[in-house]
Amino acid sequence: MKWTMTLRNHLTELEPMRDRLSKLMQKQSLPETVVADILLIAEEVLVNIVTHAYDDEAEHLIGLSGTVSDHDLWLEFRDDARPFNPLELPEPDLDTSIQSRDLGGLGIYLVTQLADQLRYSRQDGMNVLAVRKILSRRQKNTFG
Amino acid sequence: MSLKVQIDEIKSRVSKITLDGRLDTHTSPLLEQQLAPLLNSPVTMIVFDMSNLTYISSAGLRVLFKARKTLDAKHGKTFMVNLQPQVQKVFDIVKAMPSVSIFRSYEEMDEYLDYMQRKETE
Repeated sequence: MKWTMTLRNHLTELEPMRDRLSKLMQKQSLPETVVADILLIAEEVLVNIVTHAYDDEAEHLIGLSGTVSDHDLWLEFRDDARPFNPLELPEPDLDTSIQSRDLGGLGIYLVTQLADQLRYSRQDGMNVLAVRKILSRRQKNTFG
Repeated sequence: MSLKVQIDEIKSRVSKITLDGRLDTHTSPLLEQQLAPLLNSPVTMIVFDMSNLTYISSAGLRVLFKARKTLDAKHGKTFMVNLQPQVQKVFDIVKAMPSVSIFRSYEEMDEYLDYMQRKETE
C-alpha cells in the first residue's frame, strides 16, 4: 500500500498528521511497537524541518509518503529547503552527565536509532529523506 | 489537549507529578509551564509518575531534563516511576537518566530512599 500527504511548514500540522498516519497504519494492522516508532520518527523529522530548515518566512509544503509491503515500511519526507543531510549531524554526546549536556540534537538521534535504514538524497532541488522499518510477519499477528 | 498534568505535594518539599497522555512537541510547553512555579519553589524532590504516559518525543525529554538540571543544581532529586515500554525505550536510547533515578514501582523507589536515608544516618 502507498499513501502521500502534504503538510505546511507549521507545527500545528503535526497533530492532524499524527492522527492520519496512525489511522493509516492501524488499517494495515502494523504492530503497536512499529506504529509508535513511526509516529516518533515522523514527529522528529517534521519538527526539525519546520523549525530549522527554512531561511524565509514563506509558506512551504512538505511531502510525507509511505509504502508498506509484507516485510517493510518506508517513510519518505520531501522538503524544498536548503540542502541539508540530517545523517551528517554529529551524534549528541550521551556520555557526559545531564548537567553539562547540550539538550539539542536528540530528535534526529532518536530517528537514526529507531530506523532500520536511512537514505538521504537531493532530488530536483528537494531534500529527500527515506526511513525504513523492517516488519516481521510474526509481529504482525500480535497487534491488538 | 492530549496531556494531563497533575501535581500533588506528597510530603513537605516533595511533589509528585502524574503525566497522563502524550508528551510531544504539542504538549511539552504545557508541562514546562506547570513545572515552572514548582522549580522556583523550595521543593527538593520531584517524582514523575509515568504509568499513563504512552509517548514521549525529544521535546518532552528536554522539559524533563531541564527539570532535572534545575533540581540537581539545588542538590535536589528527580525520579521517574512506572515507565511504559515505549517511553523506556526512548530513555534507553538517549541514556537520559542514570539508572538509579528510574524505578519500576513506588515500592522500589521507597526501598531505595529508605536505604539512602539509613546510609546517611549511619
